[in-house]
Amino acid sequence: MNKTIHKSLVALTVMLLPFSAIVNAGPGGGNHSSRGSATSSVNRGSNNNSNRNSNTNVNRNTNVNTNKNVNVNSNKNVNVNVDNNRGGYYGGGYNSGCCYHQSVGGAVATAAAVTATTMVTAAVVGSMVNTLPPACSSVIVNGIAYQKCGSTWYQPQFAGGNTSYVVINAPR
Amino acid sequence: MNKRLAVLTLVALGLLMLLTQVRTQPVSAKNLTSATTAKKAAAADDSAINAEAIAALNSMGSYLRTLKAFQVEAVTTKDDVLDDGELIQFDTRVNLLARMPDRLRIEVTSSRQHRLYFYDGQNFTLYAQRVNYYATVPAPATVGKLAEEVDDKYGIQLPLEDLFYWGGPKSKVGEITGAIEVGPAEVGGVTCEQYAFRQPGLNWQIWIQQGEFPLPRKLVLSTLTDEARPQYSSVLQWNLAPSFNEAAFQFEPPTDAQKIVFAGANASDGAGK
Repeated sequence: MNKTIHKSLVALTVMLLPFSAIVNAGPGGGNHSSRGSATSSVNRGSNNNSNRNSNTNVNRNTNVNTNKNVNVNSNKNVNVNVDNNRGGYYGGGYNSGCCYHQSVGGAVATAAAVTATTMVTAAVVGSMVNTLPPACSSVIVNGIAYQKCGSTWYQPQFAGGNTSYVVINAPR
Repeated sequence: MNKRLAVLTLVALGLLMLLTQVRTQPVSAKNLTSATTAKKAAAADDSAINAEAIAALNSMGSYLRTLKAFQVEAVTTKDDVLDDGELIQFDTRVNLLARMPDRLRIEVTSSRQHRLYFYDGQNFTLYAQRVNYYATVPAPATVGKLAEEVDDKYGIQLPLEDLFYWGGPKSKVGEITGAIEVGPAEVGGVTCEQYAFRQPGLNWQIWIQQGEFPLPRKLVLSTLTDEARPQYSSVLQWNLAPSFNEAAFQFEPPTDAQKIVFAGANASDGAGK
């Protein structure tokens, strides 16, 4: 029975995802993502700007912490391409507050995550998030800092000047 | 009688038509010509490049390239565009210290970030103080090349990077399609000359200090590639005799700071160093 519900939820989620760019991120409300920003240099290609900001789709939120439903959020919490893991701004504090998996992997990554029968987020390698799941620990491997959250490893990085986390295989 | 009248009327009408045609033809041609001229003139106005404006930009660039060391404190605003086109403005303070050609330190503070950029001629470090992360990569030989490289490789735009492009080989003054000299204007108590420029994807304005120190005092950029036309603005305060020591450009990681990587960098660039 549970399994059936799960399956249909996965299907529902996968079906809904492509149409819902903004998905409820939990108690903090939803997020608005940024499609770009003002060019700040007259001597660099202005087209670079939109490309550069195409990485803002890390702000695309998907809620995998509940198996109940997917709500399109209408709140006005602005989630634009700034230093997200600074906390405060989105209600998602760096290393502390937020607990929602955000994925650029889109439907595939989320489906994988939702399929997990427990609350553990089994994120797909290569997917990128702005905030970490709860209960992560910082691990230094070869002088570089990583975040280990359950069985998932995240690589903190500066991407386009912003900090984000990429799911990776365990570093060696 | 009636017939004659009719013929006469026809003849008269024909003559009239001829006359009108003869009269109107040159007029319409003239109209056409003048319309075209006007149109051309308007088009020329649209794309007119005021030579003095370009000259001012060039002399500002040349002057910037003569500076050996300078400090700029800038207040900037930048619009982000939400998916639905709504604009959100962010304020940032920039404190930039440069010793040309190969030392740079930039501190950026805003409500959401506290960033430090270090360049000591060998390495480039970006330090995110609030999260206590930093990343370091080997750097090219000059500030100008650094600005280009970190943008190309890591998508990082150094704040106020135009200061290092103007007057140099990477300046895009040549791409300007329209230049207007707006007139005198005061910025922060300094009398400037205001100019407006157009180039592909961008309308921008600059306020250049009048007199023997032609420094950019204010910049406003309007991005045209997004229909919401987000703006960036910056008001600059200059110190041409900054005091500093070598340590200003070197990054000593705090004991609890953690080293991370730049996306796009080879893992080996940052690993194990």
